[in-house]
Amino acid sequence: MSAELTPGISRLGTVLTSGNPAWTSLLGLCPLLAVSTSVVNALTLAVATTGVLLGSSIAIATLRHRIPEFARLPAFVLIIATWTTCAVMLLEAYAYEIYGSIALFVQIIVTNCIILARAESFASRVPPLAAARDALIVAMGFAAALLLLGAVREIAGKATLFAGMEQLFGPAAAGWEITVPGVESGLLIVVLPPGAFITAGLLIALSRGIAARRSARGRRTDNPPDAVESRS
Amino acid sequence: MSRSRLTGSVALIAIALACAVALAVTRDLTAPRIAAERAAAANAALLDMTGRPALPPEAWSGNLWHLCDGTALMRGRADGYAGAIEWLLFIDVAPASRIRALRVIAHRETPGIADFLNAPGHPWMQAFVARGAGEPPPDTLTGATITTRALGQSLTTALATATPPGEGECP
Repeated sequence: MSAELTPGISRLGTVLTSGNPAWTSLLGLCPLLAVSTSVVNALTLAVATTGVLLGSSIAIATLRHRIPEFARLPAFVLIIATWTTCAVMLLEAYAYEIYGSIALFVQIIVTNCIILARAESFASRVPPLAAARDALIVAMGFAAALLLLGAVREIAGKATLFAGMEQLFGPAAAGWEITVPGVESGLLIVVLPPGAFITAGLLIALSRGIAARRSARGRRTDNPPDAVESRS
Repeated sequence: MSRSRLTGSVALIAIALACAVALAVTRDLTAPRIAAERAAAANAALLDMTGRPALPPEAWSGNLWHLCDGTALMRGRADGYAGAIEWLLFIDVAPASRIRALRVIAHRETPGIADFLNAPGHPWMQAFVARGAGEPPPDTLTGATITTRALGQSLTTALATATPPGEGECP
């Protein structure tokens, strides 16, 4: 089945809610849990992941007739690793402070199964434009999961939202920070690793709940039209 | 080797070459800016540690820079489990070396778990302050990774080598 059959908008809606690759198949869980302590970290990783996914999908789709079948995976990993390394260098040059705190998780974008899964099951079979559209939709799903988790953990764990955005957007963003009124400090555990699992678990339950309600209402549930699940 | 394998291998080599070129170009474009950012961060850490608005012209002699008022700066690196942990020290040199402030300016230890390295106010980082040469480093945090032990030993070893300024070094 091809994702081209699904109209882009409804596919986007599905990816953002019940069919989110991060929630349905728990792909990319390591960066998702480790980096989502604040919105600014989550946003940086989301941007980097989007860039890598988009760049590699287009490159792989463009080269799809030239990549030899027997060396398919090495070629994909080579291309993804190149984009990841470029993203690391660009991030260190232009967002030095954030780079210092999330560098490791930007480097391991190369092992993010979502990206390899899209390369293998989609980008290597379609023209570059379709691959780019698919990459953007999937990246937005991953970004939405990251940002949602980051926002929930920052509010509950630190009682702030959008703190430190000036590290990404320059001094003008210093005033973006929102503090939860009347709360001095958040629940520390939400920021710590166990809190990542607890929060992610609750969000997965929410996402599944939405999916279950949809199918109960008799609507077509619209699962992602490819076999991402089997390839982690 | 079959013909298709041969053409396939050539294609793979070509892709590898293209990737190498892309990396080299990106590196060339970003390297100056990365070096400048690193230098600026190190400089900011020095000013912050010493609490001064400006520092005299750089005068590193090895890893020691005498500020010629009884204090000095030191720099060095500890072997963390994921590469070097680069640190800066602000110390009293005379009569006995003693730590006044400590900053870690670069490291690749696990984010989240080793975040205390970036926080000079963290109790473990603060525990170094006022330690003199010959004193043992503070206890490791959990000892689960080499991070705290490596930094502690590196600082203690370095502090022991801090010598008062030589003749003519501080006019």
